[in-house]
Amino acid sequence: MFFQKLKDSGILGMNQRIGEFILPLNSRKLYPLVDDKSLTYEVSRKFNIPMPKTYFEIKEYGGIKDTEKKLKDIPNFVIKPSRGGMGNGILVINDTYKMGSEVYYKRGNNVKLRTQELHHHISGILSGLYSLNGNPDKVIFQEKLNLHSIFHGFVDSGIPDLRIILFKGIPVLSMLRFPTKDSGGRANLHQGAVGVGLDMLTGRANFLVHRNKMVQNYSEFTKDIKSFQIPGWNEILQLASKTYDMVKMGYLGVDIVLDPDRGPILLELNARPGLAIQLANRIGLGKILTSMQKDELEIDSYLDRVEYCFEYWKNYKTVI
Amino acid sequence: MRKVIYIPALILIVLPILSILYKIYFARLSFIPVSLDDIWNIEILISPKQESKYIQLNFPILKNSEDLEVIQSNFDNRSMNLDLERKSYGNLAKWEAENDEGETYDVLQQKPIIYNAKIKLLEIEYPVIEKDNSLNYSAKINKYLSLSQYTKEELLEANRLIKALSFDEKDKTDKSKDIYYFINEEILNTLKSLPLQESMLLSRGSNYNKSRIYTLLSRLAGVPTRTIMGLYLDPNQTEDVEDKFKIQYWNEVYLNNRWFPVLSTTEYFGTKPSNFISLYKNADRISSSFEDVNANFSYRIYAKQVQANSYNFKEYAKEVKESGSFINLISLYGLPINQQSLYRMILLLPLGGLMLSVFRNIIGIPTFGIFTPILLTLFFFESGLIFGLIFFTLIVAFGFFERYILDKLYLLAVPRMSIILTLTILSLVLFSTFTNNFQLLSGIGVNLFPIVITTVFIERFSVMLIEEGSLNTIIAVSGTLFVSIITFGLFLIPNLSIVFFTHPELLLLIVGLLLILGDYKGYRLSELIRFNDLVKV
Repeated sequence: MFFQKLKDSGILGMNQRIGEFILPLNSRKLYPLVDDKSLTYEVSRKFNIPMPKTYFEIKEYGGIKDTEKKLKDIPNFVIKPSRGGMGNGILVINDTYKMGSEVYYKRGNNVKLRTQELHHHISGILSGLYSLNGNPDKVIFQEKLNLHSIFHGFVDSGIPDLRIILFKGIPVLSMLRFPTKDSGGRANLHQGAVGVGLDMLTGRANFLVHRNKMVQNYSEFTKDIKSFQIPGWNEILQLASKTYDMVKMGYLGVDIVLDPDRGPILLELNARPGLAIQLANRIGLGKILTSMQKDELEIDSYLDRVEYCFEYWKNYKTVI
Repeated sequence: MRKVIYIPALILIVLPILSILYKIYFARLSFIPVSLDDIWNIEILISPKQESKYIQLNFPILKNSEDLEVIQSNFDNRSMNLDLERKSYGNLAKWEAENDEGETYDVLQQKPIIYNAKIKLLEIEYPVIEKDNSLNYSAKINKYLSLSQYTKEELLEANRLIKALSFDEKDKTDKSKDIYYFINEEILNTLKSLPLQESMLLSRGSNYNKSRIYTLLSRLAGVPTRTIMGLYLDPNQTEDVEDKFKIQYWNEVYLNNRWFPVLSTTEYFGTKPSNFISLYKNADRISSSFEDVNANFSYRIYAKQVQANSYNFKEYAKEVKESGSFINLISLYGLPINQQSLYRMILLLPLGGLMLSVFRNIIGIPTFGIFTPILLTLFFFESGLIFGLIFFTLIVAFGFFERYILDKLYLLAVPRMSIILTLTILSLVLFSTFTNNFQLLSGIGVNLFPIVITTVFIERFSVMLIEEGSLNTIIAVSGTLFVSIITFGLFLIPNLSIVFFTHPELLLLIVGLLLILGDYKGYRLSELIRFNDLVKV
């Protein structure tokens, strides 16, 4: 048949992802917990899951004028729309300084913003420009995370994050997403970031994907990616798996950042994680999910879930 | 496939089909109303020439026959005395300037006699012409062998031509065909009117002379033949001749006990297109006054096809009403006329939804907004494709203007987008005054509908431009444009909207198909490309 090759490779397609996993496994009423970052932050504190600190939020246009006062002692921070998607509307401020009476904000890509420009961006977020459904939104002022030394040589600006797909809380596939010049410093694959698949047993890098194409190496990397390995792989998987206790979505994307001081931190959750992770790992997600679904699992402890993951991959035979 | 899907889907698909079958076979309704495509309005104006003082004026008028049906006809006879001569081969109207009481009327050149008719063209199926060796004919047919009207010189010249054709052994069908080929190939077309004999001598002739030569040669060969005077109703006739039609001539030959048309100028033998309609089938009797430059009158013929794609809705509404039963309940034909045309458009929307589902979920073409492509299709439908595309490009340009120029002014989002909306409306206003003044894009009706559509479009477009950048937006715009143009093409399929209007229950069938589509969990065609690398590994 037409799609036989895709089927044989066990690739998960868009329709199957929605029809068989997202719709039946992700309950509608849980979506706000995932889509609204300020709600995610609230729940995460109940479950003792580390997330970047939220300094404050702006909910109304009237609050914009107080921004400077509130940012007085915070030289670097990240501005995010609470219900944004795919990294849209996120502004990273590395430094704040004063020249004359005007306050300037230095962005991650070294572009300077005037106060007026910052206010414009905030009001854009408030009016819902970046929110998933176009409704008015909140603005979150969040702690800026730092680049972990293990990523030196792979990243010019921006911070890579780790995407782990959970099936009923069990880690299934993972990849690192490196921001590039192409992606404008954003760790988002469809904007041009590089995805690096990670071995589920060791956290070692295996394959690369850029703009939906499998690549051997990436020109902006100055070190060999092949020997790259994530430290503390076990804890990272445990942190990821724990989020399932917090939001019981059967098909969940977990984004984790490695902070040099705080260690692995949950950045955000995603109820509709993309399919490019298959390219980065050169593995079809469909056959893994289908075989796990057959077992009708419901494992209570996150430790057992990570254990299940290790067992699965130890017994996994690559079919070539 | 799951039972919960396919059982209802099957029911939804079968139900409307059964309903339509019921209507056709039990209620005896036609599938769709009769098409009015082949209805023509004909107008003939006959004016006397200024200097002539004539007593009588003849003109053939349309007559019910196997190739046409006269739906209505009338004369404006300018108080002249009208007499209608009815013959089996044609009706001839005779106007006399003097009536029975001896009164005379002034006929003025600027006040022509007007004859109006509405006719329906009928398609005739001609059988294949078998060999014909008949020798005797009835008196009625026999007169079409008469040579009495020809001069000695004409007959001499014609006999010379017949001899050259040398078909002694052949039957009459073959002879007719040979003469047809001879005239078609050997007699060159000319617009000059020559005497018959000269025409044969020089091997060139007008459409009139060619058919006269055919009649003469064919009669000499023993085949009953007549010259036909008629009209060629060309639906593609260009505007610059102002729908003016000239009288055309062709022939009919009597073979195997029936008349067959022979059009030696336009190359038809034994058959003819339905838009060649005959006015008078014994043209030799009257044609000389039409071809004579010194005739005492001139004529103009106008013909216009009744607007294409129109249907006899009134009749159908009556049929539906008379059929009674449940059909009446779900028929839209009972609605007021203006609402009917609205529904004809609205009923196509679900079909657009079906197309969109196929494009997005089976093929995997990115579009923005869910119903934007359908709205865009409607916009094209309302305003015409060319204008629609021009306007669409303009809106896209506005979107970029907003993103890259207005954005620098730090305006709040809603007023900023309202500016774009206002600019769009302004350009719409300019467009319509422009078209009114210069007739550049004729026939564009601007109503509220496209404005609503463009508003929705602008909002989606500018949001996407901000959220996803120009490249992704342009991809989505192209996808949207592609889907809407294909859907537009689908909507153009003749009769489609009529079918849905006549059988609105077909909407259930669409729901059935959508149920099946909605349950599709297989791959999208686009994923063949996306995961192409992965499959190769």
